[in-house]
Amino acid sequence: MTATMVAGERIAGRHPAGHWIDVGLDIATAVLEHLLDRPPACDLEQTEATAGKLVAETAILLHALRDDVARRPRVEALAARLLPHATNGAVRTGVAMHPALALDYAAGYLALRGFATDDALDDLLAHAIADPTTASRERVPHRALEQRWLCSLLDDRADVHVDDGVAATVLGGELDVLHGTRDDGYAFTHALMYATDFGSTPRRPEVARGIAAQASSAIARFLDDDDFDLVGELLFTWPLLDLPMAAVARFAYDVLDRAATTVGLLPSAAMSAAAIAAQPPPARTAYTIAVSYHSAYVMALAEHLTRAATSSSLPPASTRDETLAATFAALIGADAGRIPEWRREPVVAAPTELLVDVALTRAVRRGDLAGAHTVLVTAVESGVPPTTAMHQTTRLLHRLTRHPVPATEAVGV
Amino acid sequence: MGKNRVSDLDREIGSELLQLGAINFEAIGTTIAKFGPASAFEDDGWIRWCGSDMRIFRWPRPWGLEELETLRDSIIQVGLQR
Repeated sequence: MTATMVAGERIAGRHPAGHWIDVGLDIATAVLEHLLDRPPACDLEQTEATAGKLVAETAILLHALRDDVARRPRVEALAARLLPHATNGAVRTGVAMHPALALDYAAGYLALRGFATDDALDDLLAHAIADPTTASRERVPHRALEQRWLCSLLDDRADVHVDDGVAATVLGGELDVLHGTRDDGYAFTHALMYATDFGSTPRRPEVARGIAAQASSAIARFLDDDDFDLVGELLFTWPLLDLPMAAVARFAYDVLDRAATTVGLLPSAAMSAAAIAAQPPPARTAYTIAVSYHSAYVMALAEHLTRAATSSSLPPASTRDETLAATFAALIGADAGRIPEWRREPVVAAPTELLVDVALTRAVRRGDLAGAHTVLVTAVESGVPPTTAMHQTTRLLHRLTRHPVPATEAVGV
Repeated sequence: MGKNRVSDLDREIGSELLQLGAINFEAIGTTIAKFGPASAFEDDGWIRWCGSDMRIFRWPRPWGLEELETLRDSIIQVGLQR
């Protein structure tokens, strides 16, 4: 463990380059060996990992890693091994029986089409998605965007315009970084993956900068919850938008890197030592893979995607202001429960924007609007560049000032 | 921090239901055993009414990471550490 970290600087030498990508591929191999190639030793229904989800998410990992030249043979070998699971009888039956879910059943196959194609399944899919009943399953906008993206992976689908589905998603507005839920955060990260086709489709620079600013404040919010899985997906934002990594993102990456180094893979709230120990011994490995594969994939993608972005210029470390950091640390206050991982570092290591955003989100979420106002004023007077959380807090205070509600009537909001 | 995801209103409703004896713990235990503890993690902790957006009950669950060293030991024991 490295003792000190400076905002905007990567810690070099903790692992060889590509370590977390290799860990992700190790876990993908384990998913195949323990959960897909043979009946799993644990009850997958106890976890959130259904066979279809495992196949689709492993396929998407491989799809995103297809341009990793150094690992191409390994990625291709895993894709070849995964393909039978993505094209099996259950998938074909699902596509034929439920046209409205055809792209969901075939998601793994579609993500693997860059490696191999299946003419019979392509034909079946073409008939299924042309069926009028495909409209019978209504979806929230980011899931509808996913359908467009999956469809675009088929050949000769120039008629599918992924971009047309973006405006209805959170990307067409703004993520609520103060009150948004985890689901809202995942809607944001997933919409961005599909909207950019994992970085292949650029967004307009002014739009991209706005999205990145939201991601930066969201990272502060969810890093404070130790929600590494979601923070990892938020880290994709900059490379997907072809932007240099922000200081907050770099700091967050290092927090995740350090946590993953301690555990061996990126930990998440889904992992519980007691739950693992409660499994019968023959089921423990399979169960642990089922509850940890997703965060391992996220870390692999975070390293893969951010490798190029980290080569851009860094903000100077000399801009750190220890007094200012201490001021915002005091405004953040004490931790009510477990100390979040990011706070186990010297406060001066954290970018000031992150400290401001954490102080704001904590104050707003506990209903301390006077405290939020103090943070906001301090940040503005200190010359902190405005963040999305600062903008949203300003608008919140403005709304409440113009339309005050008696405290006795604001219970439970 | 958002660790405590149960609002005061949720607590008051829960307290009222307990006092009224309205909760059949035996039935709840049977249901959890049938569908698995992971049912509590569906839909960000919410259980929805017949697939609609009407949220009828918020399933309180512990949130947060366990200590990293504890998780590391588990990962090592099952042979997943690289």
